[in-house]
Amino acid sequence: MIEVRPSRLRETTLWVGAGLGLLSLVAGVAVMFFGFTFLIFRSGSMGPDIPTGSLALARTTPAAELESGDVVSVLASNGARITHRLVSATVRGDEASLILQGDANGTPDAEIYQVTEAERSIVSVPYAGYVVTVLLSPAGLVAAGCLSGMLFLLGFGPRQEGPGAPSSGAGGRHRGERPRERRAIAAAGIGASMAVVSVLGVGVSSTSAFFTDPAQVTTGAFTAGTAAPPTNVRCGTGAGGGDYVLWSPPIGATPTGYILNFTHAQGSGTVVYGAGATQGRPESPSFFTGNRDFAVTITAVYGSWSAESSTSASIRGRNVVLGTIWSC
Amino acid sequence: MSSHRRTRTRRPRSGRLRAVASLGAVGFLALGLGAQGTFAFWTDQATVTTGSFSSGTLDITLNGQLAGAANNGGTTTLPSFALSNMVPGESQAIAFPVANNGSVGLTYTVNGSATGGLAPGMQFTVATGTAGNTGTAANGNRTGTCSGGNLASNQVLNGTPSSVVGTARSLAVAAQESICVIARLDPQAANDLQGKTMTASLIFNAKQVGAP
Repeated sequence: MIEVRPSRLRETTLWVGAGLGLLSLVAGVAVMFFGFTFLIFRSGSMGPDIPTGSLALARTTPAAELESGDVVSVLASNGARITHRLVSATVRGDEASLILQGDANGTPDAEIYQVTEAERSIVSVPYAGYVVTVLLSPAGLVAAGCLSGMLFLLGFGPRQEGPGAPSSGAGGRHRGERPRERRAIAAAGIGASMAVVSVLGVGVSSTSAFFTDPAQVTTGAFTAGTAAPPTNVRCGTGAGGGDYVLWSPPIGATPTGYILNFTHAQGSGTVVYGAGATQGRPESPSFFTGNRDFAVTITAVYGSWSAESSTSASIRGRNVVLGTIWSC
Repeated sequence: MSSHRRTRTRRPRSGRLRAVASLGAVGFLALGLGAQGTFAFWTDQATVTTGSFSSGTLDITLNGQLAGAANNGGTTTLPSFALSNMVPGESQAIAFPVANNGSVGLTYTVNGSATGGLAPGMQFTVATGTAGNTGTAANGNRTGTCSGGNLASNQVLNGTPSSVVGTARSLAVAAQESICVIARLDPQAANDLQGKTMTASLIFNAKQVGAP
């Protein structure tokens, strides 16, 4: 029993090491000669299918052979490698315009990628990317080297019961002690490697990332008012005496100004008044003799809007030597 | 004992082979495996074979709303950002915080759209800072102003979302800024816009820093 356990450990370790080594060699050949690529997902926008830290095997594929739904890896114009799902591809000759979107993203990528070929993901393994990243670090390489060296010793090293091995114990003890030592060394080696991996792994955590977030803010209702005309347009005695055309401001918003529109037998004209005006008279741009009767409407002005009174008022002007006398 | 002896004599040979094979792993790893890091959007484009993983969330909030993954792409309303009985030239301003509630840096641009018959007459200004409103409806001189600089001036929105603030603004983790929006009825608004209504939507498109 004492002898079987260490040899089983040795066997297992050797088999695992050999398996990993051959797997690595096969992968290396695939990468070098058959257009395969390994992709490590460093963010989670393809989650939940492909979480952060996944390792994917991809193969370079001509753009024309890509199909919607494929997980495709391209280089963005800023140099970053983007791996997202293909929404649509427009093929023109050898070149294709790809629209990609991360599964976890609400919107497609803003950039449209122009490519002649892209890496299409074949299979992905969660968390394997973390392991590979750790192994690819200098410490990881050292650890892997140590493990391999240890396996080397296991394979080539002195036998369990090497003749002439120094021992102070009896024959019975002699047999059991060497494998136990070996087992201890192996355990220590594996333990040390695990420790290195664990320490390196602390800085890495899983993610649920949303790499785009289109947030929308909506306003309440903006409603335009209706321009209302002045009311109660009439002829009467104005402030400070004398007859004027008078009007009342519209109900609601105060107009920014008023326009007095007048017509008479020989023509027409306008006079502009500012905000707050409530009375006015037609001007007499040219000399006229005798009486002249004016018909007057008032337009309320609201910026670019205007509203003209529906009723008009009459006022009579009579020119005398000193000016014009107005009467209703 | 005899079987024991036999296995012992076989072991060394197969052990050597496997040990050599295991060296392949080291050689392969040392060559860098050909593995390429890929990221949806990644904050650091410095290296390909090494680098950290991007952990966390990207989350923009508007006016303290829309936090969390469930509100990715959500909508919030500013019911007080409204004005009735507007006359040409009148405006209203409102300010609200835009914040990075996620754990990665983000940049954002703003698109806008509008619905309603008054849309062609409404002009939207996006600025920074706080909002001030003066004037009264009775005097027809309600005016909104923003204390900060303009990011976009008097943009008319329509049913198709269009760019309002095209230059990306960045927000570090936990950072926030006050965005001020002015809605103005065009001083030259056509007469036929009288009595019409509109609502507008501003879409803050947040992306992780470095996103294409």
